Amino acid sequence: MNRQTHKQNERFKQSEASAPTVNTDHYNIPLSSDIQQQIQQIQELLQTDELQWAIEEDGISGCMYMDTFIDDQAFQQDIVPRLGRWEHHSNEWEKLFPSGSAVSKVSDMLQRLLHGDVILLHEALGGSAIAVPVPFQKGRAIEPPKVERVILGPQEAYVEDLRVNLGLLRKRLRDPNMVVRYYEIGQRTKTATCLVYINDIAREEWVQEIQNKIAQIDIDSILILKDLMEFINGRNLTPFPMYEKSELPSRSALYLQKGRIGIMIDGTPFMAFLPTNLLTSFIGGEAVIHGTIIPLFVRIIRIIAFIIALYAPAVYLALVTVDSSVLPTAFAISIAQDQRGIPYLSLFETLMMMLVMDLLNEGMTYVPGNVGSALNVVGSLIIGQAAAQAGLTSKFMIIIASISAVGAYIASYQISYAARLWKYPLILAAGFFGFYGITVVSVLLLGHLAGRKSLGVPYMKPLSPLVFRDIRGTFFPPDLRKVILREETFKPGNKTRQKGDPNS
Amino acid sequence: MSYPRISATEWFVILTVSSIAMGPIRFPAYLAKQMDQHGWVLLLAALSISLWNTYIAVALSRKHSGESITEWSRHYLGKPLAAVYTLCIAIYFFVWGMLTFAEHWLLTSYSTLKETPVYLIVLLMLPVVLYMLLQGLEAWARLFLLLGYVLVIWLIVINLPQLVNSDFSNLLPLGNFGIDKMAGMNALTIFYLFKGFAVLYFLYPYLKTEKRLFGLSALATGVAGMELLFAFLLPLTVFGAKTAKTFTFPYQESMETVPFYLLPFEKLSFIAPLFFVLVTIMILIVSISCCTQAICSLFPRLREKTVSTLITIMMGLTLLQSLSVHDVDFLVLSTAIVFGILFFLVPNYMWMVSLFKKENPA
Repeated sequence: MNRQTHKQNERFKQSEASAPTVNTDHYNIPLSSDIQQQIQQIQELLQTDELQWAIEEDGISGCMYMDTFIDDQAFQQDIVPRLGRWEHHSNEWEKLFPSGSAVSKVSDMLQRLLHGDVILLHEALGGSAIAVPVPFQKGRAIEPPKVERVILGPQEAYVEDLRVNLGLLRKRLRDPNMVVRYYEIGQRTKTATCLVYINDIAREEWVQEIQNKIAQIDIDSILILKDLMEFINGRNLTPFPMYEKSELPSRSALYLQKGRIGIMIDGTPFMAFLPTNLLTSFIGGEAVIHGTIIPLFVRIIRIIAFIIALYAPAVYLALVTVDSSVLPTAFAISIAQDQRGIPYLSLFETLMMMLVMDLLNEGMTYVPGNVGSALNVVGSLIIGQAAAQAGLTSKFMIIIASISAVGAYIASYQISYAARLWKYPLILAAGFFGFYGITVVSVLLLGHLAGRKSLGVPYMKPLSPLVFRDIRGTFFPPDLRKVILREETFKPGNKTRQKGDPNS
Repeated sequence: MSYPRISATEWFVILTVSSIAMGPIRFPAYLAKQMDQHGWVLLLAALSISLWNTYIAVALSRKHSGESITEWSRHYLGKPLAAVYTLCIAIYFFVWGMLTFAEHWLLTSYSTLKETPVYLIVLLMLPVVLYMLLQGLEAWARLFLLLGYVLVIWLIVINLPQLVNSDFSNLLPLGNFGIDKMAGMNALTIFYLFKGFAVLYFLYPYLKTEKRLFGLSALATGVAGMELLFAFLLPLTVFGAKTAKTFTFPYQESMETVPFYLLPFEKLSFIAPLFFVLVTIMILIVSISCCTQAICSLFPRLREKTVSTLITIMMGLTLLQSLSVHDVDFLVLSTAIVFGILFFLVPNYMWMVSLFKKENPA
């Protein structure tokens, strides 16, 4: 007993004896005037093998860098050849290294090292050093979009590098009113973040609100966009997307011009937009390329697909269980024959099929490479053929399950989870109460959506509150030559798009 | 925290639904029994009285903008009597919600869920109502607008096809329009129908705009009147007065005559109870909300969300006992009398006093 307690205590002491936390902001102390001591100051804080340093034989000059961070080629070509002259003419550093800047505090030197700068040390500089940025951009090339696929449109999508993404956006929006505000969030990660908006269109109070929320973030790390949006938007307890993500610079430019505000984080190839509403989830990328009738068709198809994904299993279940008297006799007999021999209740059959479809969906989406495809084939064979022949499920149920699964993704990837999740309460309600239950749960769903707000804009706008002009604009965009005013949904500051009489 | 606001369109839907309420369920049968084919006269009389009451409600609310009836009634009734008045209003709205559910359950248990015990329906419906109440006024007003689109489509889809089977000669002879039968208990029908204007006394402080409020409210009441007219006339024109009188739910029966071959459904009549489910949920939300406001004005320290929750639970407990047709009819009669006093006599008195005060400011 005593030996065990002693061991536990030893383990506890070891955990207490771990290295202290280094917070770069807490070392706002001047650098030493001696370069050896400068190196020592940094070594004590950055106890990592990535830190490389070198001092000339005479001990007058040296340099420090993180070898995983810098561009070796740029270092060898731009820095090293000039070090010889730098050693003897330290006061010419601005000519030799134009992108460099002086640092005089330990915290600044630490931060610059962690951003991929090479630190040049010289006795003649006294208590300061020169930081020259030579970061190595280990990113992927700009590729076509993976989620918002467009066939006859721009094929550039965002990447993980924030500056590259902003460059792509700026190419499309050379508006001097487009403002980018940089932030660094996360005490450990120092993740680069930016807020993008068009100054005279986006509402000032929204920008201010987001800026205040970002300023209040005091957490150790934020690495993904979802975590940042949770700070800005609050916890999302609904499967419906409370902010919209886009990987297309072209679409991002369009959204910014409507008065929406973009938020981007280094390491995530998406830009998040606030505010958002339900209808924006049904606007397809392809649709904006082809004129007027085709976007209307695509949007209606997407909405129908979403409704089918949500309601098809529940309506089927209601028709075969509680409300079977609604069906014409011949059709009812056909369904009954199909269900003959199924050894359990229709409710269980429906729930089981939906669960299996969701399992396959997750497998296809997240299981990598060939395994995902194999899973898809095996799952389809099992569900499609074997289960029906074995009498575990009816053919109608297979059709309904397939329609529901496909419909969820046709609408939009971001809203697909909402359909996949909400269909379960509808199925349960239909199983016990038929159409009555479907109606009550539908009221709950609509009430849930009616209560959501994104930056103060009701989520169901322009349906509720009713803004007829914006509904018409969403489904049947007016002649662009006659569009004078922007949509009202996102309450733009500067409402005018082009000259003319808005009442004509 | 900003003050909740509801738009004119949202108010229009709230008033229309509150005015239609459960009228189409039992009243066609009652009117057909009492007044044969002349019940529409009583309906028109009820509509006229309701329009007058709407005018009074708008006029009084405008005079005391920013306050609900529970607050400004003190100026006319004095504090003690106003407190009693407020309590009566709270109880009335509670009973109205209860009665609405009971009426809808009469139809639903008759047509669709014959074997389902009422407690399951209470457990299904009331959490939804409570959820919306806790979301706040703006949220449920937006919900009403969304449901309003559905109800408009329903009203068109379910009423217009019945006209194909209608024979308006069944309304003849017009005779004396049944005037002699309008006295007594039948006259109380006037105070049971088109109750929606009473909600204005509580929601007026939250309206975004007062412009054309009476016109909008009158239009909403008119739409409700048209639906109730349809609900009464269509069974008569389809079946004739003698046959329509024998039905418990004539409107539902006349809907059964409408075939629908476009989709794999034999008839559209199964949608009717679903319409009343929506109306029931909306009426429950409105009635509990008004009841809550009345209680909170009497006990200002109580939080609205707490009171709403308690009232919803109490209502759930009372609804566990399902009511028979006779019980419902009795409650309809009783609440009609109470409504006549609370929302016709007293407000008209207050309005006349306000005119007198206006004319003699000293």
